[in-house]
Amino acid sequence: MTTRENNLKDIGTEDLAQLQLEHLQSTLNRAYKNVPFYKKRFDGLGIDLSTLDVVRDLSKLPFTTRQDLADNYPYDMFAVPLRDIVRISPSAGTTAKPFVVGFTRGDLKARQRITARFLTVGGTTETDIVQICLNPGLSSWGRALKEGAEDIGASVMPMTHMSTAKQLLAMKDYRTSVLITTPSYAMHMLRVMQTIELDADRLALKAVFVVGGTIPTDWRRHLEKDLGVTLTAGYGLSDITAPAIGFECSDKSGFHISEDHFILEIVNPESGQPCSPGQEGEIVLTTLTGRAFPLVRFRTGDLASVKTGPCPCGTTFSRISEITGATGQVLTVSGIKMHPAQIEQVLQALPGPIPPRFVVRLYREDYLDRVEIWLEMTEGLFSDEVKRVEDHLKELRRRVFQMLGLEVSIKLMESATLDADHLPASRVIDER
Amino acid sequence: MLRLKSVHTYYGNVHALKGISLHIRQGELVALIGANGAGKTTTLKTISGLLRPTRGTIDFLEEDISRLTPNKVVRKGISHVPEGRQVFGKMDVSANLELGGYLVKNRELVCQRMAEVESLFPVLGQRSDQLAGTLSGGEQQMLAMGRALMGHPKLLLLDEPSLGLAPIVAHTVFKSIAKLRDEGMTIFLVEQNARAALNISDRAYVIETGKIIMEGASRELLNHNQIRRAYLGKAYKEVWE
Repeated sequence: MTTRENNLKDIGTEDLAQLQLEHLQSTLNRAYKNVPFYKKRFDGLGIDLSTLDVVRDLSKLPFTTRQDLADNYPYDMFAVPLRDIVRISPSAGTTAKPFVVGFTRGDLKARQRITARFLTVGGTTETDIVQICLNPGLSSWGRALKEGAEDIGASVMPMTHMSTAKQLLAMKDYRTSVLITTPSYAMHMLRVMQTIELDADRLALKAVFVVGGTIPTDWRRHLEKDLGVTLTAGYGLSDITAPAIGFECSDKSGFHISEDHFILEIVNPESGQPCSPGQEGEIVLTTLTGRAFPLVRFRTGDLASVKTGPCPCGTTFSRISEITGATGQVLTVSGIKMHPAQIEQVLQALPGPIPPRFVVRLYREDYLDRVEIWLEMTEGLFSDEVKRVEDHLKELRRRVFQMLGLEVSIKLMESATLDADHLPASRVIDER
Repeated sequence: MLRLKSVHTYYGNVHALKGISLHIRQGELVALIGANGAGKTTTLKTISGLLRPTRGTIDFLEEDISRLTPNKVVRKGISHVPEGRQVFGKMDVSANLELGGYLVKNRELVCQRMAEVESLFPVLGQRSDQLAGTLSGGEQQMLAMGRALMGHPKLLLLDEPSLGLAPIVAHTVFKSIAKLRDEGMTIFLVEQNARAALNISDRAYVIETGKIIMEGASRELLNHNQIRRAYLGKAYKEVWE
């Protein structure tokens, strides 16, 4: 990577505006030409793309949702033939149907540059030893971050399935200087360090990067102080594109959006109208450089607001606040997006005429996000043999893991408990 | 240096450019590639003022030139070398070059520039007394470029310089274009010969039916399968082929 690409101050506001306009117009022309979904949708609404004169006109175009991606499963959102695709990245999605994201060689390079920039801004250099600790549901991010760190020239220890204690021992022995993980897992590691009596002084850690979740201020302070590191957070979508669409700068207040690769909009989740700066709304992203999988006004489901005023760091990219919540019923667990409907789909595979009712309980244990499913004890599930019930539950846990990459626990409940008035209609109890 | 924003141009009744945006930085060699009739020449003619855009802006050195007449555009520092070379066949080489310097009033300066052009294209010096019409295609192309350079342009627009030339001659012409860029000239090159254009340019835009469908570093586009299929070879129909 050239220093030019890393030096964000090189991109002037006017250059960026020109670049965005050019990329946007060609992205739309390609999407219209090569993706039947977009052609049909734009034609159906009588949209003439040549009338789009300025980037702002993007707001006249319809949104793309996760439902659209699922409806076009597997390949109908692709803008290039499969022979151009070098990576196929399946995603559980957040509907009953999964979806598939494809990358061309160029797309992977662009993603590599985005993640490398995130890591460079946070202080990673070619002399660093980078350890990536993410759970299997975030494996696509793990690969992107590995490639980004390799692009810088750092030595990378990719995601490996190890216990936390072993990860920590590796961190000490390999003299890891950069850790990439989720906020909750970073906190969990800190806790385990106490248990195994590993002193932070014995680690060579200098920087921690966190993705896949909001980091509370006290956690940040805790980690920075106890580990003696600088902490840099990134914002991304685990199911699509890159893990660091947004990155923290030295100012550590909100995320700069990589506007050379994405156009950022914040809209009112109900009306779809643009929000004014400072006003909370849903993050909507349009890809500018993606060749295989162009997304026009993709609704992320994440809530944030645009920060006004220039950033002290000098970067011209717009800055958004911390992620302040999610729209609808999309849940973020350890950085992974999920929807209760996905659990419902797994339950349909159970014996018995009617799938059992359920409630999803989200809580934290040792800083880690946990999912507990309260499952109604139905006749189909019931058996005199405890073993058979256990087998059913084991199978369910396995299927949920296969679908979402998340370990869940299941508690059987009597029907009456699930009828209780205090349970939310959304079937989700979030205690985090 | 040059910035086109959502430019629309009609060629008679034909909506030839449907919202073209592109930019060229100082010292860059940028190519515009595409099939016949895609709008390449129209783009150049719109920049040089021969065609007037119905919508959009053309900023050259921070000034909108989209409503200027061709001779005013030339005075701003943009030289257009049209397709088919169009040298004055009945005049000799040096007279052709001198014509290119008509804006330069200082005689000494004209001589100095002619020497510069002749050092860039030695063949023009060797044939300075020959009638332009007797030059080969490649030599005429060099003369056309040399004539444009006489006015000391800030930006050179080249329309299909390889058109009608034998491959080996075209190769020489492309080499001299690359040399021009290496000497600091800013060049916007329009070409049907996509491979050659991508080989010598820094960045490129791909135009299709009046719309830009792709842009990027030339080296990247050279390896891009879609470009290869459309302009450098084979095409496939289905997504899984």
